[in-house]
Amino acid sequence: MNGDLDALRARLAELGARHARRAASRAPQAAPIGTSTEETPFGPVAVREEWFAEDDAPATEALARCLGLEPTALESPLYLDTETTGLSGGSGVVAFLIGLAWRDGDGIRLAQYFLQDLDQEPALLWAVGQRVSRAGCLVTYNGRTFDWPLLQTRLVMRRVRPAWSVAFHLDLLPIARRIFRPRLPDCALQTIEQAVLDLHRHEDLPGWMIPGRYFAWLRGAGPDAMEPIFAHNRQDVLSMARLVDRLDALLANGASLHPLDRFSRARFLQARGFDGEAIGEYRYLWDSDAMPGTQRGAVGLRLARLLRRQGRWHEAKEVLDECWRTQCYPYPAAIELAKLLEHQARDPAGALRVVAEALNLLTMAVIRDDRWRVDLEQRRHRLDVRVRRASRGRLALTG
Amino acid sequence: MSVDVVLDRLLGQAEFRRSLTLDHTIPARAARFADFPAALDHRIARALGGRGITRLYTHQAESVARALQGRDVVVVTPTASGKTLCYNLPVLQTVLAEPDARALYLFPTKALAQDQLAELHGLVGGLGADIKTYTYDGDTPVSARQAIRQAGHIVVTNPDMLHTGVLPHHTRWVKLFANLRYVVIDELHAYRGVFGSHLANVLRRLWRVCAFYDSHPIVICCSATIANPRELAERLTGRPMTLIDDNGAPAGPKRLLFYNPPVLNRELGIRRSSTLESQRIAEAFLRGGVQTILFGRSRLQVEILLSYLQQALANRLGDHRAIRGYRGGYLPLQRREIEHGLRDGTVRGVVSTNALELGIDIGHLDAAILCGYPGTIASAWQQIGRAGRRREAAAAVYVASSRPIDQYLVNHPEYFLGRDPEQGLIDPNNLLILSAHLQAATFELPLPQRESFGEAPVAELLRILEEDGAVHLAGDAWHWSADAFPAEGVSLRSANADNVVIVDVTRGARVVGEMDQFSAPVFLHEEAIYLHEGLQYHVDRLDWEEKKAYVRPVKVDYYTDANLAVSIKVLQTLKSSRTQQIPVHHGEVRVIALPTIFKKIRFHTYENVGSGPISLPEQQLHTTAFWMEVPPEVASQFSRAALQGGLQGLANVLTQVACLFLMCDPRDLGAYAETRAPHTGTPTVFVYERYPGGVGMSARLLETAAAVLRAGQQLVSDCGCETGCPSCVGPALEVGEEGKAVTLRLLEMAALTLVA
Repeated sequence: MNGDLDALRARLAELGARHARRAASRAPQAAPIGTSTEETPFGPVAVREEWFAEDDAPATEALARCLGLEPTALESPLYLDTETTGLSGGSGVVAFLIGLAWRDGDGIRLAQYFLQDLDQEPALLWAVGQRVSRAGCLVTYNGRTFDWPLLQTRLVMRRVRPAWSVAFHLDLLPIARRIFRPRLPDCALQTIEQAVLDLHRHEDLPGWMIPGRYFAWLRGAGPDAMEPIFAHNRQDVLSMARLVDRLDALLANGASLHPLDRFSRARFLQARGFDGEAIGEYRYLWDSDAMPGTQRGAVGLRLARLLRRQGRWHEAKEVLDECWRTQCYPYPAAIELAKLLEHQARDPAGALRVVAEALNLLTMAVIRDDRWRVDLEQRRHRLDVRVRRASRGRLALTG
Repeated sequence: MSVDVVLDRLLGQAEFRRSLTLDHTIPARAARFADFPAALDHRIARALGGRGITRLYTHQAESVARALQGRDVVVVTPTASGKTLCYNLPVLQTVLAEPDARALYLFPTKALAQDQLAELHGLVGGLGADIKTYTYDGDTPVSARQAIRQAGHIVVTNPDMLHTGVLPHHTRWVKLFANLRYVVIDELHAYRGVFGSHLANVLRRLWRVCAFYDSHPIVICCSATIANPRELAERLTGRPMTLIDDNGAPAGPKRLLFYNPPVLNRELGIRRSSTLESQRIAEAFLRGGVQTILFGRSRLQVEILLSYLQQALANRLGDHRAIRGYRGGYLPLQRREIEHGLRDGTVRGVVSTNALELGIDIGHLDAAILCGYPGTIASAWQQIGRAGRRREAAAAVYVASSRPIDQYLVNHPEYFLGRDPEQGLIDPNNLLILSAHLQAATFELPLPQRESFGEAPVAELLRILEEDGAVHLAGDAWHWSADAFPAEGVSLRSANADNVVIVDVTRGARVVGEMDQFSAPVFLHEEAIYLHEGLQYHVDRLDWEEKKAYVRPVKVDYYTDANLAVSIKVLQTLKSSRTQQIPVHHGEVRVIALPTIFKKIRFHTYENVGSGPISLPEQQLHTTAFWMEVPPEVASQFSRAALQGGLQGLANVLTQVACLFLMCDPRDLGAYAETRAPHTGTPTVFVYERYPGGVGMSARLLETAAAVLRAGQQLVSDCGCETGCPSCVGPALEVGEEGKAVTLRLLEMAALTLVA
């Protein structure tokens, strides 16, 4: 038998197959330190449970309101984060560590389910499924694109039916992205931790090393080999709870935020339909002079549009006049101002003047911005016709 | 003017007449019809009626009936015999009855998939039912993919996409796999050699995934005419197939001419250019107003032929758009326009690569001209099949080039007209290929210990993969356990992941092509002149570690020729055919090649204008080979030098002729002659496969040795040259003055003994 194996190995090598023989053979694996065994109908699964005192449950009302949910909808969240055997996806990628956390008494309970070996997956999925299905809402970070589809794949692979359902899945990444992306280089959870939660990890295992560590475990690495991954996962899950609290607070009140984040927050509120609050925030940013040049223009433009939509066009005109005068973000401001002059102020001649000036400016500009040129030219043409027709009408009346 | 008038005119020229080796009329064939199957959904019958189809051809009816009975079928379909109905009807019938049913169509190229989709849309449109048909390939927008996975009744894709984009993500395709009723494999004959061996393994993976979702699809294959369609289909799918080859489609009479360009220099075996002769003949047909297709063998040749014909006929046809080119690289919209022009007659002539020999609908033309042999007889018949309407007469002219295969065929039309000798060969159990797909399979679904995968020592392979850290045994199943996506590193079309990539440094580091690691030292050593699509490139640098050759286009009057010190070691003789005089064998060999020096040789004069050393590592290839020994009593009849030349000539002839039987390209084979082979001590000629482990060609070469050797003998004896030329054994410069005679003598002896 060994002879056959050697012959086959030699043959594969002859054919040019790559072969990297590894020394470690498989050893019986003791459970990682601190885990206990949970029995399921599909056999045992290892889990490590911890409890952390935390005085107050995170507030979620503002978050729920922003998402158009009942104020209590996010009250008992289940946080979930997975560590997987690969990052590229596909049916061969397994979630080998699933961290769950929920409010428990005066603190937060963390349960990390771990696959001691790949054939224990049905038990792990069953145990996690029990918790997920009971949860009022599931909270993840990038879970909509990564963790959840991956878990769905695992359920199909293990023929778990019916598939899990959750009342509401709150993925924090899109919200964090809306608010912090303009200021941060990326929105990875660890970037957010540092910049927003003021949390700094020490000796954290980089994500790309995780699959390799787990494969080493499967090949018999010692019982503490998994410790850095458990720690990494624990931090991810706990950070999510902190982030929920923080997001809720800053959605309730943006006063403490960096002006750029505050602008992002206002845009987010506007996108969710909270026009009144958005106007207040834009107005504050506009008046406070905290924003740098172009950004201030963008604030003014949004403010003016919202005001106009609410019928407050005189206020809108003031803002646009200043935008245009100070030449911050000039072309969109000119277009916006022209619209307002034409339709609300009934002053097509004034509108035409603004458009013509903007086009002049554009012709002289070093960087030709064609996005605006087409709009401005069409507008000028239309206004031109309108103004001429109006003046003919006047002539006819007077003549 | 009709085809006959043009033919009469051409045949009126004495030289044209003298150059013909065949003037054969394929008689008209009447249509044979069968009624629609009784069970056929009335909506399908009505939709077909709307397109003027009220009955089916017999082969269509039989395919439909068999498939609906649940049989796996392979249909042999000549050009324009309505093959798509053979699979579309059972599929649509099933989907109409069960709206959840799904079908997967495989085409070898994206372009072909698009064409078939257009046709399918036409048919589905007339049904008044909501049947969704989509292509799913690398060009499919990401935004559309989700909908296709969920809702597509018929998903049209290619083997590569199935391999990397569908199977590894099968959980996203639950709807498709759980309800998969049909798998259609069109252009079956394209799946031979390495590509076919890969596809056979992709299908093994597909069947595993289907079994997981408890579906058992029926397979319908369509193939051009080859000698072994059923065998190829069975080896490819791993299932018993029902063969349907009784073609009921009609055809008008067709005149088939073989034209061998006149000899310019008999001693050197030089003939008039087949390109120029093809142009001339095509021009005659086009001038006569006959709608004509001219097939060239490369993109470059197509462009040359096209520009010549457009110039020559500019005044005559007025609109330069009346003659068009057609090849890969044209935009889809442009192609559709040309196809449409051909169907409605506004395009009078088209010059094409083999892109138009496949199932693209361009209607029926009056004349087809083949400039050179397209590489397989199946292709040649597909190309000839482009000419021929249902009733009127049509003509096809094959113009031979000076390559050995062309010369053999043009002189042996009976071979061409007789029973098709070509075999589509694959080896689904090639260890290297199988092992790659075994990994992908384990990624897709854990592999229970008792499960098999093809005919391979699966248990042992998995043990080795375990050592690599690629798989892990848990419970009683093997699980994928590496942070890699195993399908990604495996290309279905090229030999190895370790190919040398050829980069043109002058055009923003554009990749020009790839070459396998074994051939690269010969063609891509530094200072080599590398030819690609008719262009010359100078190799500036070869980075062997990174497997990259950096080239730039040049125009020089020489080519380079690398000297290769080759040795072949027989590892295991698997099968022998012992005859009295010439023993032939098949087995495993190791080919060791060490490039030594290269020479720069001027075109036409063959002067040596420079040389240099090549310092690259020795290359080893473990593969399968066919070899023939020359026993001492035969060898002793010749001088050592004569024998050496004769063996070399034999090696050259065998590689060329073997391709006729193996349906492969001469580049897929290597040949080597040794006056004293180490393992036998006798003079030996080897023909080996250039893919590690081989894909079954050398085994078949042993089985068909008698016919191959006879064909070789005919090729050499028919050739009018005196002492060898590139059209037979190779130039005398290579094989020596006596080479041709000795080759012929060896072939005669071998052929004789084997026949007896």
